[in-house]
Amino acid sequence: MTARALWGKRFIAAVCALVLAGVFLSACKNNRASPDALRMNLGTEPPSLDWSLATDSTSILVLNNLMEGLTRYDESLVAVPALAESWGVSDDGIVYTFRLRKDVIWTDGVPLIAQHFADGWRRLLDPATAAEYAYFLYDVAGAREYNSGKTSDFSTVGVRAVDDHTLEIRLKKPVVYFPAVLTFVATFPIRSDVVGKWPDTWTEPGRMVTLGPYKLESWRHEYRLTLARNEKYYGRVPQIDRIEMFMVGEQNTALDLYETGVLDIVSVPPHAVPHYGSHSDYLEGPFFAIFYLGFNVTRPPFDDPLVRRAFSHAVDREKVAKVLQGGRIPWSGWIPPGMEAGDAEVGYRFDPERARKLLGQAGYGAQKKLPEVRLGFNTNLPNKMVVTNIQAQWRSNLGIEVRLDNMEWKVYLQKLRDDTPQVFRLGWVSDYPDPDNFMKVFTSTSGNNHTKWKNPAYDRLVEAAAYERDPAARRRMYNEAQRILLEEDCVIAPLFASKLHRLVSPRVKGFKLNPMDVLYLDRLSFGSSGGAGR
Amino acid sequence: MKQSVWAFLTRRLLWAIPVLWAVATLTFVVMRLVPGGPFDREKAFPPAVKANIEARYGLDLPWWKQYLRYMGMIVEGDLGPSLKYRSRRVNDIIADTFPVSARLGAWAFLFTLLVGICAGTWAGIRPGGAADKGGMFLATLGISTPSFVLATVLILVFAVHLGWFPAALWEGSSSVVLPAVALGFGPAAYIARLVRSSVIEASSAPHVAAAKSRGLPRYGLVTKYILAGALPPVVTVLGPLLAALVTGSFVIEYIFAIPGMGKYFITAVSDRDYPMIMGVTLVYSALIVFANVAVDLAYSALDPRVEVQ
Repeated sequence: MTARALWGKRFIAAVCALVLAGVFLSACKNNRASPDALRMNLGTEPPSLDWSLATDSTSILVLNNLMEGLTRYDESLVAVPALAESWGVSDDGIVYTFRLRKDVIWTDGVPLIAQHFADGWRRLLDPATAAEYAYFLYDVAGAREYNSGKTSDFSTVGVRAVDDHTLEIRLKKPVVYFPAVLTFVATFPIRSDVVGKWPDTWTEPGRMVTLGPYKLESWRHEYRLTLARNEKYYGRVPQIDRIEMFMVGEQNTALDLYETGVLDIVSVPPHAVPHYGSHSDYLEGPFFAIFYLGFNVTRPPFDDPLVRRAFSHAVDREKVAKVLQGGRIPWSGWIPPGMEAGDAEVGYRFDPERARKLLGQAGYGAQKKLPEVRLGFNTNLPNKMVVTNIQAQWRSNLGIEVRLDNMEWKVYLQKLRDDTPQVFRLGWVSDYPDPDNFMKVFTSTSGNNHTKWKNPAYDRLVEAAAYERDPAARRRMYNEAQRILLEEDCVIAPLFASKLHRLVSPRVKGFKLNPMDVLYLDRLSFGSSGGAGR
Repeated sequence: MKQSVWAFLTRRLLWAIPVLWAVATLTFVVMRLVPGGPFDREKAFPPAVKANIEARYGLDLPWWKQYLRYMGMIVEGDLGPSLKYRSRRVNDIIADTFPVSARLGAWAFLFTLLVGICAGTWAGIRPGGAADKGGMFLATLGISTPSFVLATVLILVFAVHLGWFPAALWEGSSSVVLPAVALGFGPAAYIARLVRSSVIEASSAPHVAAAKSRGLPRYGLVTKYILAGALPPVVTVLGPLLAALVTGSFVIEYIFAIPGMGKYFITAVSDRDYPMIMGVTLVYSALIVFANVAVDLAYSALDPRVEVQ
């Protein structure tokens, strides 16, 4: 080898070594977030922090810490005064008069006035805003008509700023859960001057004006959102200065980041519950969400209630929950456990003997075979595990072969709407912690009732219960309605209620799970030892 | 630069216009044929609300009107509002996420080139030797290992156990290493195999044999004679590869929580976010077109027999 070639070779080797060393050295710089910030995982980019447009749990989680409404949940999920100091209700339950706090100021120093609520509601209901959750205010007089464009006169809508600190709301009907609706982000006040200045981008840092315990400090889209303590907040100043919310979609990655000390709070996906269930940082609690099988009552053989009852009796819900490796509560009722009127005794127990008998009564047996039965579901692993287990259970308990049809989510939603399968799987997650939110799903006019079932007696009970102020009478009504839905007519077969699973760093104090999965970060603090809510 | 090169560039870039138009039209048709819409939700909303939303985004117009309206916007450089991220526009989302994917993709591309060409050459100059067998075993492994498996192994070893690199996130230069390796390993293996066979073929060329017989040292022989003949075929695949790498990878960006553009190739479709689907498709197509032009130019630079016309 000539000397020149040798030097050339050495030169290249030296360059390579330098590059590698540079990469390695830069790698060793660990750019971790500051230790005074609480770091948690949002899982995904919040689709919109415009609270007239937000509809998803991620945006709502962030907004619940940037903003407040007339009411806010206390630890037992009762709506208590927040921006409203107090309120009065007329004897007929139709007119609510809210007295606002006088010490609330927005982050730009402007005091809160009642008109900001009227502006927010006007924007939410304005057809041009095209807000999905406009219907949250449909209990308010004139709201539906204004939103559907039947009138363009906003003075017909039952919301009025009587003076700077008094807001009057007129309802269409005296629904008793209305204060809980007012905890919801869509009902929050809005600064129309700020929105008017930057119509599409007013939620960016530096523009967004809020009044909650935290304010938006920075937002790197798709990656991280930082909240800083709002020094102007009227209430107790939050103890944690800053919150860093990362958007780690892959749950295993989030767990890795928890294990390596980067994140303080992460969700544990159900498949990881067996692994983390005994971890000292692990917390679990009920979640107001129900997973169910629905029957299309217009399609044979499910047009016969006897067949529907047979299929519901033929499911061992304990087994279904077991297949999912824990983290679920077997449940045959429609109102979830822990919610008012939630009853473990309602709905059908597992009884294969009775199931076969019912099928016989419906005329099916050795002589007459059941028509082909198809079960539709949207493709994902837990769903698949559930429906294959159901398929096996119906095979062994009823001797019936069920065909499974899996579909991509949006294809499935269209299928449910246009051509509902004989049996379908769906779930319902609570919007407000009241049985009305669940029971309304299966009323005749509900867009979420894919069963095609209509029962005026059920509708009447659900509507009357919404206005009933006596809790005992209300419970009785819901119980009766659930018996119609789950036993008499047996339109759906609920399978289980969900649970929440979290890992919370021992340095975080005051963390408590609640079944609405509402997280108010101003209730947390850092402690040198001790655990989360323990 | 020669006159012909400019003429070539102008012609190819003009050709890009009908190509992109065809891509946009096909994308428009295909995405409207897929069942389900952007505002189909688990929780249905009242018909009045649906009507408001459709009117706001022009989804209530006949298809051809929507198409014309959309094409008009694209011509003006506006990709429209995102239907999923309702406070953002597609232009802004791409402007935020594309540079991230491009940076990660550029590092992965560099890794691919460095490892692919070195390993391929090393294996190719002594075919059948230990280096060849070992290298090609690794290459086969690299091609057949899905990137998410490799990513998981890398995180487990280098982040969780050794703690050398962050397990995920996009914080400074250290967070580029694991995703770039995970992203570039498969293509590197592919390039290595390609380079190896090119090197073997080029080594048997008469001018290489002549150079060898003149007693040229192996280093000079490889760099001056063998690689000069072996690289042009490799360059052909580098264009599309570069376009694919810099537009991001759903899997890698998802696993490492990197705020890149790759995830939209999947999520925009599952969300039926029509303007977003169109946006990422057009960016990807434009890059493919430009990368191919660059490849043709590189080809003529590497091989004097090839002339651009």
